[in-house]
Amino acid sequence: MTVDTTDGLRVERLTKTFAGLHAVDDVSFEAAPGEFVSLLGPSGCGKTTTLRCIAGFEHPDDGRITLGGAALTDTATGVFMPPNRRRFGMVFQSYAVWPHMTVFDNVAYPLTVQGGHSAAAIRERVLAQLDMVGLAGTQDRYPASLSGGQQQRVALARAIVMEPRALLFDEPLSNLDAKLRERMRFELLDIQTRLAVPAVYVTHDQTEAMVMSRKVIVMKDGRIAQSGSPEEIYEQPADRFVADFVGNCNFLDAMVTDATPDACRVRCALGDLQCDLSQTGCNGMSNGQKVLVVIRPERVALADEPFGGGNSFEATVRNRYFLGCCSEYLLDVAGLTVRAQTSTSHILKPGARVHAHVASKDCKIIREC
Amino acid sequence: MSLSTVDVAKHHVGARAAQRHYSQNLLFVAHVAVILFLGALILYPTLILLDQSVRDDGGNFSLAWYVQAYTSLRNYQAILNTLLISFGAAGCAVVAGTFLAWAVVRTDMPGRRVVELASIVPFISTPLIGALAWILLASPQTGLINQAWRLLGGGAFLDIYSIWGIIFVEVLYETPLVFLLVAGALRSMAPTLEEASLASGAGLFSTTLRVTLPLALPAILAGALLVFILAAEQFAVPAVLGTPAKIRVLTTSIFEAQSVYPARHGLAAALSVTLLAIALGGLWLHQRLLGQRSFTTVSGKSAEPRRLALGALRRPVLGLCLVYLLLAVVLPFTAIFLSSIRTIWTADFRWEQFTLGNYHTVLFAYPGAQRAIVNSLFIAATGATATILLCAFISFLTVRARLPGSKLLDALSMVPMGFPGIVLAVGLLHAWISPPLVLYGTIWILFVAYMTRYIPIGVRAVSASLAQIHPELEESSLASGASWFQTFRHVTLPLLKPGMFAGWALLFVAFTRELSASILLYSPRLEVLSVVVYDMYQEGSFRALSALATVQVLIAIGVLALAKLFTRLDHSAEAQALR
Repeated sequence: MTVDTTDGLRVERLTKTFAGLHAVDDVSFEAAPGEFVSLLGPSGCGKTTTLRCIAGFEHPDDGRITLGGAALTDTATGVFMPPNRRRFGMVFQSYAVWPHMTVFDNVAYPLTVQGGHSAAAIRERVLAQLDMVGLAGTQDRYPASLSGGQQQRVALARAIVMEPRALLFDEPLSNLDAKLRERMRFELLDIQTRLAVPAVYVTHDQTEAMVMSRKVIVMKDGRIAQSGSPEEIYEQPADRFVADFVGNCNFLDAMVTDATPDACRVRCALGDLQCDLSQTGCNGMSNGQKVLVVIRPERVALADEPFGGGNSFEATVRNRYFLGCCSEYLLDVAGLTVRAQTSTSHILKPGARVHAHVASKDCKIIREC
Repeated sequence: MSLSTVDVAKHHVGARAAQRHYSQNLLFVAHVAVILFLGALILYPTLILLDQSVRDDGGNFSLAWYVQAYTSLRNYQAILNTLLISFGAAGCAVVAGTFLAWAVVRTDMPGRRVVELASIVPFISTPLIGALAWILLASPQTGLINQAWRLLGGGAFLDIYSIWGIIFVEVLYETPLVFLLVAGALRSMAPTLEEASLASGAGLFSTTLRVTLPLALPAILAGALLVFILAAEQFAVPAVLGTPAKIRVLTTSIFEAQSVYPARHGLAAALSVTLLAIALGGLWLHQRLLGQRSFTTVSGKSAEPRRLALGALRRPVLGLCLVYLLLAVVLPFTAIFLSSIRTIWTADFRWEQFTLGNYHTVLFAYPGAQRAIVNSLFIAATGATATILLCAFISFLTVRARLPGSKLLDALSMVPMGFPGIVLAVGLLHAWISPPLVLYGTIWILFVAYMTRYIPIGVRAVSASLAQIHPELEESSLASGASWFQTFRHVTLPLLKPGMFAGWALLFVAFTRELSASILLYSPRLEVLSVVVYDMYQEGSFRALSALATVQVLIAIGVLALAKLFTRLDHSAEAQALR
């Protein structure tokens, strides 16, 4: 291929309906070469359909998909490159390793069907690939004799053996157990970094998306709810859905009482809170405006003694759950439940009075529409 | 969605994948060609049949044949008898089949495996053989049971030559179908549904009545309709048991109108259209029922369902199951086998009556029988091969490629289920008797008839195994750069092979036993097995026909055993095939 890939993979205004329902609705994003982009969302949010459009398994109703500036799918011009010509390595949730072929034949398949490779060259590349995914020596075995993790490595080797122009992952780790999943995350990333191609990764696991990606795209009902770095998504959720889907939250209805360009003061059930807006896109608040305050549980500090200054409130411990790395407390504040996570070894008993504090930068504001 | 691949098509979102990237021109051309071919196989004879039914002897438009079909007492009686037998058989088979399924799947009855296996056995035999066996057992004069009863001092108390005899034999052969459908539904039912009822305080009996059986209702009704269709289409049983008692049904009336001299083509056509309407109506209802719920009998990886503890009823329930097995399996097979190794049919057994001469007769001395064995094996081998290849392609087109018109193809491939063999034969007779293509008088007309009749079996067998092949297996091949053709060859076909072989075996057996179309289509010296068995019955050669029937049963057992050995042939596919 002589296509210039410096431009990466670009999806523009992608729309796909099934029986009148918008599975994907006006989705646009880009994955630069070497960039790892996650599509994150609950089931039915359109993330898999988006990926399948990129792979060429679905014909979008509208939109354009390009790689290195060359159109793969373009509904305006009728361009459609079938999936077998796209040379995208794809890893499926079900592994999709062919049970009637040996590990070697599975991995060699892309080279065999595309032709133009000598048997010796194929052998060399397949063995090198198997070595790379940690399956050296298994080439003559059948997939049925491999564990789930090993089968997924076969699928991965098969996806990268043809030196793909992009990598597509459809929840590849969700069938693996927790420990293996964590290890495979880094192996996938490692391989993708070496190949330096754009990667699109579909998952419903927010931790996975944040750990692996440089860019996370949160989807809801076929649309992009928010797109950004994992830190941006976590620290500056665009709306209640994103805040809730990515991590745990306390949501508080509030009213702006004192707005300045970089900060504002709001009144809510916890009392008056000072919110730092300098890191957010939220400015131009007006007094009297109704907003939603988002506080992550792990940003709530607890102490027996009163905190000096503002953004503090007093609470009663209702319950405590031990999470291993920390404890989660359910606090009662004037009939309202507030979640707090803290890793202090000092254990607060149910019924205890406690003082809580949230830094102004940890009081996020979401304008509720 | 229509018709039987519905459960397959809904299977996975990935199935929609293929929609357009398979639509290379070549594939689309092949798709259209297959639709046209099925149209020629099925619709062309139907149109000819319709045309024939509205023309008088001079070739002018006339409804006289329909007037005769519905007003003459003989034909009117035939229609009534057909409906009576069909409803009767459906009702009885549903009760028997549901009871067996419930006992085997949902209770702790002893000997469940034996009952389950044995209840499939009637499929190994044919309704024709069953009817003949029951003549040996219960004809008023020579029936073994009646003879034995007389020896004990009683009179003849069973008469198989009656409408009740016809219903009885048909029920024996159709109960397994209901059994398989209902057992499948009961097995695939999530145990939590029943556990929720138990947790709500309902006992096991009331859970069975209020939850289990209502949930199986679609399968039960589907089974009833299927039996209704099959009973309406049945030719062998009423021909053998009804004719001596002057009990006519539609199939035998059609046969009569077509085989008297001069043949009354118009009347045969009008009666055929009537029977076709009844059967297709049943099929339509059946498919609508299935469309509402996926009833697939393949599944069963769910947890072992809770079994009803029968307590003191264990033995009585088993007893009822064994009565069915005795009537459907033990007695008929014993009768046919005994009859095949004896010189005379009496209830007092003496050593000198035993012989292997009957086998010598059918294998070496009776030319028709020898030809029939060769012909049947030839058609079965070539026909099953051609049909399964066609069916594999149809399955691929309807389940995976899903090009425009695939619903039509799906529907067309299931229509033969509602096409009675004898009606098909009347249509084919007229369709292929004159140029450009004269098939009548050759063995190929049987080939065409069998292929048409049994396409649904092949398509189901292949579709069932295609549905078990995860679409991602094919998509990953496409993503690897393979074309759809390479994908079909390297991935789909190898994975499909066991399913195709199972389907081939089912078709092979079905082809060696077909009677109701063959009886009108065969030509002298081109006999097939069932036709010769039927001829021997008409000659009264019960010893010879018993030997030939045993040979036929052995062929079926052999082929099915072979298929079982090599593939995972499952009972449900088997049952549908061997109806």
